[in-house]
Amino acid sequence: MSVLAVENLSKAFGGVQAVGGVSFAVASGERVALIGPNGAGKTTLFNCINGQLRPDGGRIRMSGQDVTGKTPHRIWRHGVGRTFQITATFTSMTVAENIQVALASADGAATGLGRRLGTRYRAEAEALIDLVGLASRTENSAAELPYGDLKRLELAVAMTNDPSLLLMDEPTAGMAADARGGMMDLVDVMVAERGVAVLFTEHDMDVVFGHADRVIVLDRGQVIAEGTPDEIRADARVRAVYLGTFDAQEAAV
Amino acid sequence: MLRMRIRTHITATVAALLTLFSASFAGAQQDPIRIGEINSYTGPLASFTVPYRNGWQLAVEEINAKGGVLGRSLEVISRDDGAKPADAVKFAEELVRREKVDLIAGTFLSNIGLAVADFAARNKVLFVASEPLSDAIVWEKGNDYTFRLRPSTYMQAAMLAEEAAKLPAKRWATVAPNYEYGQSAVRAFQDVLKGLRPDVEFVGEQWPALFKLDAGATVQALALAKPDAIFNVTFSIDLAKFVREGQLRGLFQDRHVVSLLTGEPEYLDPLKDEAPEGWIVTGYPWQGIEGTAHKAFLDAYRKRFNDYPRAGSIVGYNTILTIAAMLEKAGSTDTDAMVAAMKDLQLDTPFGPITYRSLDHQSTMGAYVGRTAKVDGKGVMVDFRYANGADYLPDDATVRKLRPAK
Amino acid sequence: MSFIVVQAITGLASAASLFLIAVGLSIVFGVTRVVNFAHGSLYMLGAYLAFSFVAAFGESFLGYLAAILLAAIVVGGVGAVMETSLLRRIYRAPELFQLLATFGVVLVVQDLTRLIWGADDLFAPRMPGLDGAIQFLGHAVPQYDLFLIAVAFVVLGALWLLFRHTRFGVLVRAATEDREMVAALGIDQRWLFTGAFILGAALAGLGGALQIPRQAASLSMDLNIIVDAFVVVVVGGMGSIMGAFVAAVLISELLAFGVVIFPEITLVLIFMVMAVTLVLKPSGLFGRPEFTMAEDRRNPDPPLRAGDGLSRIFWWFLLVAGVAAPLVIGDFAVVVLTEIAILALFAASLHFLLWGGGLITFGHAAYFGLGAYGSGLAVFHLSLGMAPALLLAPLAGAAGALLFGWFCVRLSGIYMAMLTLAFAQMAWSAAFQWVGFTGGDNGILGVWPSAWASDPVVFYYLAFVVCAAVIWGLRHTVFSPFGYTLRATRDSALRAAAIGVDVTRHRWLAFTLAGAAAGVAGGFFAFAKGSVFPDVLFVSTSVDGLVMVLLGGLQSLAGPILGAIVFTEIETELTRLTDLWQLFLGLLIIVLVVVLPHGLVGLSALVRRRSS
Repeated sequence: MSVLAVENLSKAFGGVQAVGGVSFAVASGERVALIGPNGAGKTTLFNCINGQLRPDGGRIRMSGQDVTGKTPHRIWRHGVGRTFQITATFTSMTVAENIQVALASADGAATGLGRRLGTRYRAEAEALIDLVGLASRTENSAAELPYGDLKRLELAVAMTNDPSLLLMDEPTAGMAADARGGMMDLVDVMVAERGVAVLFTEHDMDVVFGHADRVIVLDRGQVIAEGTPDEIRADARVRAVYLGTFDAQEAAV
Repeated sequence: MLRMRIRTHITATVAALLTLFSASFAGAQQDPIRIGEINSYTGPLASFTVPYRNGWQLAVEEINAKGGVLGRSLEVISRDDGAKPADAVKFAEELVRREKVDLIAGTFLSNIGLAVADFAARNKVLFVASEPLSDAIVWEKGNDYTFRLRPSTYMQAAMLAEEAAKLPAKRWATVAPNYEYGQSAVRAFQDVLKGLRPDVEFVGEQWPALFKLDAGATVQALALAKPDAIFNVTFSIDLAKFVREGQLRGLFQDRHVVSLLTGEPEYLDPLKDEAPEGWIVTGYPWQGIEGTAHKAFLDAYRKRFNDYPRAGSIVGYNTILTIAAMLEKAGSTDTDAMVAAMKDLQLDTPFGPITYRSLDHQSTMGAYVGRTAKVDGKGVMVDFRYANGADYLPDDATVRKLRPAK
Repeated sequence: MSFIVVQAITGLASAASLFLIAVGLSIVFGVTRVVNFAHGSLYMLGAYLAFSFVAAFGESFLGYLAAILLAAIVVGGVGAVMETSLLRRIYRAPELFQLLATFGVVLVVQDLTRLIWGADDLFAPRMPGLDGAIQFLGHAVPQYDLFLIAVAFVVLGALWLLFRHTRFGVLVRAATEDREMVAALGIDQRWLFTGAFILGAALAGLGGALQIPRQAASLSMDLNIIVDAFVVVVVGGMGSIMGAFVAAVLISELLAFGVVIFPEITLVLIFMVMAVTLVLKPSGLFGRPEFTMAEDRRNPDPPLRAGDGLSRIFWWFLLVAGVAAPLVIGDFAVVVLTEIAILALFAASLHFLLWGGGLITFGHAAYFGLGAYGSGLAVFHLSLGMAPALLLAPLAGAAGALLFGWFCVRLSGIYMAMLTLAFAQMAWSAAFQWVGFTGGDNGILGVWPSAWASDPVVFYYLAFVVCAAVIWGLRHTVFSPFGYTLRATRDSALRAAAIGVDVTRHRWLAFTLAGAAAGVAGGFFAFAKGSVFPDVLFVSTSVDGLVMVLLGGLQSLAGPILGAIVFTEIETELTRLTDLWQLFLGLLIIVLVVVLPHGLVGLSALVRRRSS
């Protein structure tokens, strides 16, 4: 069974059809990149999947369960970890606390009034911190982390509920070119060690072709191509509407 | 300019404090008798309470100049409650516990008067409630330690109802601010008027929120009820709006208006040349009151403050006269003795003799009832008479029912 | 029928007044994102200035008109001073600080106005030429009402022209829609902001000046109008001129006909309109949703440390001092100390929401007051003793917070602040006007402690132990998973939702918890004072709480405690020493916001850092 199945999903804003009848699936342990020119509907599609937007039509299933129209916090309960294009962390907390809060939530203890959080989930938090390579930053405030480390922290937070699917909106956006590979290698580790599937959007084509098992190309709200990186590189339609701009895209990033 | 004013203000405050101090030391051999006084001296209420403060200051000065009471001078320790009952209670605590005052006096707002009265009963301190109007202070919430000077809401409404009963009007409408004072006043007026004139009916009522009168709409709504006469309880800025809008829209044409407190200079003077004419009001026509006692007060007040007295001034003045008379009668500052002395205490005031009833601790100080008129472009009261408070209280049996027995 | 038409015209005249005051507030908010509490003070100032100008040269129609316009211009100038000297320094500060700073201006202007013009109401003459009424359908309609309606339309038209056809206006509009864009265009925002503020202030002044032919200039004008103006702006949509116009008409007509049908509940009616609007359309009729940040990086708090040496010493010192104090101080000091213990809990519960949850409430008095009324009514109606009555207090506070919170947590930022204020005012109106149940303004008396606790020292220890325990509980909650999760929703609601936190529900629970804690404080307050009056629910009580929190320092758990101590002492002493305590309190607030945004705790940290 696929971890994520999107069936005929559509969403319009006013008269503009941002996503029009999109279907695809992500299998367990698979890394899928969602690409397309600006305005292709990637963000809308993403936001429908993670629950920030309610689709007008179609279904979204996670591990077989219908989650269409559920709010983000419910989607998360279906085993979805999430990172954002612009990082969203808890700036008044340390790295460890950022993760402990998420672990408490995963444990269903978010409303607990008992023991102090600082003393709970400590070992699990440290394990995750080690995994993303932030061990030396454990007690640093999130507010003082460099951007690359924030991205790593987000990844660790997203992994707290042992997700079966990671939704990553531009995981390397805003990072220096040489750091992007390291970030994506980390994602690969998660896939290998924890068997998580990844659906990500990305502008950097080196990242896409280097780290995706499969690529879905979106244009004007429609899937115009789907396949392995090699197939996408070879696809004539993709070249026609999109690939011509690859060079320009890379130059711009 | 402004800074100078502030500085002058501060200097004046300091000077006043110093004078108070030195006066209290020079005045008598013994320690002065300490009177704790609480009122709302800041904010919008200052225009009512400052004339009141002048009144009690004048009385204190006069009494101390004559050698004080029981051979001791009077010292007033005054606090501003900022119009908050909770702060008034706090300062009552301070005056009693830290300043060790012998008794408490003052308050203007009914709720503050009630809060301090309750405090007084709880702590067994004498409280002379000078200005608050609420009937509850001496009736429903009355207690052994609280005595009230000013004629109450009920008394003043009854004075007006008596006049209203003489009018041919049968259909009455009322307009009153929607809170305890307004509601009590309307109830008292209706009860007394219906008692005197069973044929009247009340055909409309308006309850604007206090100080938020939507004048045009309210006037229209009153006119819609087509009353023969209107009983008004609004005051201050609401009254000003009501008068202007009512005159413009012809609400008062061919209608009688009976209006509570409107004859007091505090309320009448701000209306200037638009003061309504022919309204039946309670108030304080300081310009025209006969009698040497009032004349002496008036002259002394004008000389001391270079201003004319307001209704509050006479209340402040009478408060201190009450306390002085009570002390003479009690012969000590022991609370039980003072409370006993307050009962049936008789004294002379610029309004004539008054008595503190032992029945309900209400003084019989009255008010003037008359009609408003314009003289030299200013509102004044004419055809007035002094309504003795004693004549406008319910019979003793009713009062006993209203005031819970101890 | 004719009555309906005439009443509608009357309503329109009120709408005109309301529009003139609200539109300036809306413009200022649109451009600067500051909700100016002192807008009502500018309105009041306009009325007083117009009164003086009319006295000088207002004998003719033109002279009177000139007086009104001059008053508006002078108030615009006052606005310029206010913007350049104060507001400019706080544009980047959190909304709460802005609200408080402008409230400080309210207090200062209030006292200065009293110093300059005195406390008496000032009644200006009617406007020459417009001092009569015309007969219309058998009713008299004041000429000035028609004039006001005309002025409102002229102002509306002039603003439309200004915003469509001048560079300034286009920039104001652009800034209202997208602040970053204007910044990116390289326009000097400072002058744009100053200009917008002058315009808003002048409109407030005009609104006030135009009132003097209808009502007396008085010191209560400022707070009387500002809450109504808030309601109009929020209902219309912040920053929307048309919204202000439509909302003003809606509310005024509702009131005009409301007085005929339900004369008793007009006050509550206004707030109900607001609550309903905000629930149906959270950004008002014509407003745009506020942009929410992915994470709040403006002013990141340092992580919480459970007990570094100094703070542990502080807490132990408080505890020991609290226990030992009655042995060494006088009777009255014990009374003051009791009040401090109670207010410290009130401030701590407010701090829990403000800091712990980033929930900006401007109506925390509601839960404090409900606690006080819960206890008071239990004594009054049910004749309960002190202990059971005190147990009811947190329930009453929590119930109120549960109800009001359900609406409030759906909004954020300034809209939430406004709605909390509206609910608190609604509770106040109910307590004030519903005499049969609450005793109205005369309050509830005889709420004294039981015999065993009647000694002030015994009552103090009771209050101290309970308040300290609840404060400790709140402090513990901040460290618990619940508290961390709440702070997570504050730092980044987006991220919190993405880790499975039901942000709305969590905030709602926090609201209820804080309401219960404030209720405990309210219950003790009732027994400490022996009485309960509607003013415990009034906006000034909320502001006192905010000042305490701010004075102590928002970013520290010890802040509210320290703030309550210092504030109570200052207030007790200041009111004894001077008639001008409002002025001093106002200045204190302004200085705090501008110079000491981290409060006294921040000051001590600063000193510590300097010395090390």
